[in-house]
Amino acid sequence: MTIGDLLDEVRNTVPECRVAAFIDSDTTLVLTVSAAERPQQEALDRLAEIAADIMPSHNNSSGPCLDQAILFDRHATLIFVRALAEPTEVICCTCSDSVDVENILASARVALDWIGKAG
Amino acid sequence: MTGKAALADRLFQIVNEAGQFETGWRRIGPVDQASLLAHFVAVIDETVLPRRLALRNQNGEILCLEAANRRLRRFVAPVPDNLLAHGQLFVERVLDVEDPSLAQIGAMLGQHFSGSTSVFLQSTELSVNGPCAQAGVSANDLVKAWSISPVPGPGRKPEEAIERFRHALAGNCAAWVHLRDGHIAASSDAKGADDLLERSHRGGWQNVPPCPGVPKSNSSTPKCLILGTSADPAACTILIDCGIHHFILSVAAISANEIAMLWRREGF
Repeated sequence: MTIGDLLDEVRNTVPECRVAAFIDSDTTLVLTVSAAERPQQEALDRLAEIAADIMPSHNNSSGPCLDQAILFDRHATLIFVRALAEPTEVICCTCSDSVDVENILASARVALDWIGKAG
Repeated sequence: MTGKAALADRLFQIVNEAGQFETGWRRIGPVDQASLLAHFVAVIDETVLPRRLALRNQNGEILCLEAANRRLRRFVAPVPDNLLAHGQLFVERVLDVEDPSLAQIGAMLGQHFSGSTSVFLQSTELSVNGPCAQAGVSANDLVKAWSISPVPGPGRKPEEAIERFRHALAGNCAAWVHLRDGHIAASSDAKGADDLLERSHRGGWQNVPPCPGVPKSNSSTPKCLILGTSADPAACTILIDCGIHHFILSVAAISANEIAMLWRREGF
């Protein structure tokens, strides 16, 4: 199963998810994206920047590593999930505001686990 | 008209009415004046990034406008002169179909599409350098603002809604700090505030308000960020950015969905 397939599966599992992107937060790059209608590159770049800001790859917190974040705005809910094994890898999902947040956190986590095992 | 020509005409009509005659056009209807105005407002209300919207009647006459961030930016010529100016009235306002000042637009739509049995809509995303960007809003600006529409509910002050949100979380909130212009304005307790600020620094959220020293946000529309761990998903840090007001809250024993519900309940 490819990373694109896994992102598709996240979107299929959670219909409120409009875009699922696989991001390298270290280089601030969107590596793979799944979307019904591909967003403009500027929007994807901005997603990667937000992911890097929220989840810097060199998290120097002495506490447990933050590995999930939810950002609410007027039109969308952005959900970020970081791989436990590879902290630079983040899945970001852009969802409508009615999304079941915990469902998408779980789906993205499953996808990241698959990606980690395949790597 | 021969049988074949009639059949061709009929097929043309059927395909046309199904909105499949030209790629990218979809049929909207019915075409009475009130419905047209409702569609007009609805398609503008759906916009986030700048888009050009074209409405076409069955005679091929097109009415063009540009919209972004739920606002009508301008009509695009050729349209009646009075409408070119009229569009400027709505640059800063979200359209409300009940607004009496929309009557002129409603009448124009009725006139433009009178006699049509079908109206078609085409929506095209504009480039960042497009005319809409020059009219005062660019895709980059919107994306930078995370596509946020600064539209608080009618008569609602964001600060009051945030206060209600914080109050709803009070039972789960172990500590909180309120920053104003980067300085502590209030906190649950001094030690709790210090811990939260230190955590914010250590977390490396240099560009994620609210953090002391971070410049004022470019939008007064509140943003809410929940940061947590999969190991303990019921405990998290909530960051709220509302212009010069920033809040950091440490909460426990509450799920992300519950926090989402409380946030959305306030109309954000």
